[in-house]
Amino acid sequence: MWWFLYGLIMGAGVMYLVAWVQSENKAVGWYTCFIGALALLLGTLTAQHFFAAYKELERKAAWRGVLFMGVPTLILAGVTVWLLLT
Amino acid sequence: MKYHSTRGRRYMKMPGFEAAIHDLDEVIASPMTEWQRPWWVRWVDKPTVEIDWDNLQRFDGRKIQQVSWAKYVGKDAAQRLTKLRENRTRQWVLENKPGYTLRDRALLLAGVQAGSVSTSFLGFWRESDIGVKDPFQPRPLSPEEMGVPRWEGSPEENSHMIRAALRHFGADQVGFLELDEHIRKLVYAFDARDGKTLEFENVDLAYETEHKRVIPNRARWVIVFAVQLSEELIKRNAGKAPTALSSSTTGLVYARARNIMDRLQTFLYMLGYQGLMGTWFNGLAIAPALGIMAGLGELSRLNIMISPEYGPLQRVFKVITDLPLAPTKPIDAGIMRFCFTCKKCAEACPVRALSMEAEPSWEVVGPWNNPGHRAYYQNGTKCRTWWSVNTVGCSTCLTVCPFSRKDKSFIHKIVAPTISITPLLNGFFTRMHTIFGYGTPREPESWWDLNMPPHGVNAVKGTQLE
Repeated sequence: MWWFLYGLIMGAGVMYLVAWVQSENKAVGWYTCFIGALALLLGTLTAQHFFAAYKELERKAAWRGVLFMGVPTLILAGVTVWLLLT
Repeated sequence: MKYHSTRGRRYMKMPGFEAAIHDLDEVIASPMTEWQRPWWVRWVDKPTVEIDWDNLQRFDGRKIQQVSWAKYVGKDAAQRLTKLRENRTRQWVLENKPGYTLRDRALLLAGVQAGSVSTSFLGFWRESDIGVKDPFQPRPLSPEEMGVPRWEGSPEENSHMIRAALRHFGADQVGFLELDEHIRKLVYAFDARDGKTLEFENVDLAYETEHKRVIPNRARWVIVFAVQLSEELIKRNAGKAPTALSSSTTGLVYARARNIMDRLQTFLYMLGYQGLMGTWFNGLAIAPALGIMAGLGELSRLNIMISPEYGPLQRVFKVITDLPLAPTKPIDAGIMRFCFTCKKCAEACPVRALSMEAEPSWEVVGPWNNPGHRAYYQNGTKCRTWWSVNTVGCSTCLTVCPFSRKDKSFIHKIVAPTISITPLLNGFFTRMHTIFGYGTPREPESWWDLNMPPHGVNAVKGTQLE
């Protein structure tokens, strides 16, 4: 159920992003798509690990996962946004 | 349990506010709150059945239909119907009627009439009728007593059937072995508890005397099964020291296994076969060795079995039978190889009883080890002495093992196959296990506030429902 909602939100977000890029007539390089997809994948895995570990009462593992995967996710997402805006 | 305190909050001393906080305390601490039900279940003041408490009286338990049924239908009718039940039972077994076959009937009565926490080499039904649990249910009968032929199936069908029955009785992973000349060497020469010899003879039925227990040569198969330990409970250690709380899951597993083995013996008895059990949980044969040979898991630095499903968090049990079974093979999931680099258990052992050597050895440490295999032999005396000192036994090595973890996170679903395929990342995985805090002991008394499944284990793991 939660993953279904997550998929809906991510799908809507990506569609909005594509529409925005087209309306702005922006040239998007393949590496921007690649880094963005990587950020999305890593972010999804971070969320999966966090909620799974939390549910398994492994709180430390949950937060360490956020540290080791969440921070790279933010960096990759930031790079993607920067590439899109410049 | 109190979820907040108003101590020192003088500004809360207003009568209405304090009463509201008190109510909130009661709601939060209520047993209904910690009982997790679906959101659409409402707690109500009265049940949905109407009750007239003024007219309701205490009931005479002898009047229930199970007890006084013959009085209600008449003695003749009761005798006729009892006979009908017996005849139909036999007839439907003979007809192999789906849902009423010999094995279906055996499963039913092994559930109702067996389940002791005591042990018997031959099985209680071979020894006496004292095992009857429900006097209003039929006693388990052998096919001979019932007047029907015994169960016949191919070894593959029998293995399939035994696995299903054992799962129903509460076992987790199940494997099978042929008791050939190699596997016979894993049966004790002298039984662990009472020193009786264990011998193989060319007889039809197993028997027991004052000095020996005899396994018939025709009993050529071993049923091996695991029963899971509760990870949350066993990790309730006080630092590296075990607690009575953490040890309680081990105790319960042995009791559950004896119960399961009694049911299995009864089940086999009703099919027309023998099931021979150790007269003690560590009796009859070397359980982890049989588990490894049957493919339940691999040997490890702990010098016990680690399985891919439950890590070291299980105990292994065995029953020898003359029901033909299809043997299962040993496995390689990279577990033993992982132990070459991971020494977490040996480092965590409070008395340094486990091997710190890089590779397993042929050299035993003491007479408590059985030579003839290359292993991480443990100092059993140090380990057992520590049990007396800490008063409760010990499973610290099990709790820190990287294989003792749950596996909902995607990371574990990547790590386990990787370990199986290549040892290249084993050192990295061991370090990450520490960094992520998986082997960390939990605060012991916090266990009482958890809402755990039965026996504290994930029973669907490794099954169709996972």
